[in-house]
Amino acid sequence: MMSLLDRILGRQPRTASLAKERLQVIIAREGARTNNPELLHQIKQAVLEAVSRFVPVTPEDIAVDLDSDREMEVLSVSVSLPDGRTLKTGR
Amino acid sequence: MSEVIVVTSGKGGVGKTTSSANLSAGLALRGKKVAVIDFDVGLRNLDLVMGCERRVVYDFVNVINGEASLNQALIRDKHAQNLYILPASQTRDKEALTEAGVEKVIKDLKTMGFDYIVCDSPAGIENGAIMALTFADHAIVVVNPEVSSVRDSDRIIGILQSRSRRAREGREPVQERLLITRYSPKRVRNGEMLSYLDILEILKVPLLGVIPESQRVLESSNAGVPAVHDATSEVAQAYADSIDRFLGKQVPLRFVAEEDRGFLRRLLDSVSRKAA
Repeated sequence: MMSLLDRILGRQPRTASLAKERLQVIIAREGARTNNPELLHQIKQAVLEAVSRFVPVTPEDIAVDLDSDREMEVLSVSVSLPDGRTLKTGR
Repeated sequence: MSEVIVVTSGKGGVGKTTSSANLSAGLALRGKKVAVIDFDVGLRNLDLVMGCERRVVYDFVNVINGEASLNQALIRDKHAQNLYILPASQTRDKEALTEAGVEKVIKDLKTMGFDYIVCDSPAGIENGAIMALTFADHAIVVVNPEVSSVRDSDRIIGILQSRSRRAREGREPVQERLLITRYSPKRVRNGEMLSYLDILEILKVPLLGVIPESQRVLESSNAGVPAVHDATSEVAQAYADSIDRFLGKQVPLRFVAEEDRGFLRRLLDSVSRKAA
């Protein structure tokens, strides 16, 4: 947005603020830093607690993966149930 | 206690090698025993920037492959005591840097009593860059006030937070700090360049220092003598401030504001000039 003063003086908008806006958007979207093991560990713990309320499972029965490419991030959680079947959930 | 510092950036040409040379030399000038390793296998340049290119006999890959000992490969710096350079190899492929090999070299350097082991990372996010950051305790992320550099810094910070040993073993995370280089206060004031505050707001990483754009950087690489050796230059002082901050001192930021007289001051000055 050009400020009123810029309009009166016929000045171009400042490119630095444009750069800042564009970077904030792209960095939020790429979320390079969300893919950390600590987060996955926390998710795994939460899933373990939730599933344990209904079925007996151990941490080894749960696999949590986060895959991302340019388009989207996919969080996949797979829980092996005691009778051998696998319960799959995802986003 | 030895500490491993990676100097990284993602993007190329932002000043990793210049900063590695200056930070290593500056730490050595403060009495620390420092080894600086060039991880840019195939594109060795740290030796040239530090002025020891004619004394390279063995390199990092020779040491990893057991073809030379660390003592044979380390080059003693001529400008600072207690500073040693481990050059990258010129010919071998990047896969020559194995995790086990790099781990052994770093472990041996720690045993030799180095206070700091500085890892000069290559650009990109390939094997060399990953190896350079794997064993880091500290990361100095070099960034230019420019969109592609800022975005790549964010990427490399994400990689530090997932691929470093500290992250993988669930230990205390690598301490990241930003070093903003090629900064031009005048262009920032004119709204043509991201300010250091903008960059900090976007990346949310603590600031180590701001190095002003300067012809001295080119001149010091021409001569093969890192800028910190000439304490009169702004660049040298900005690197020295950054090193002080790294070592835990509180140092105010310098060279981030153009000398700005302001409208009233200029008006008063011109009036008083006319009156004189």
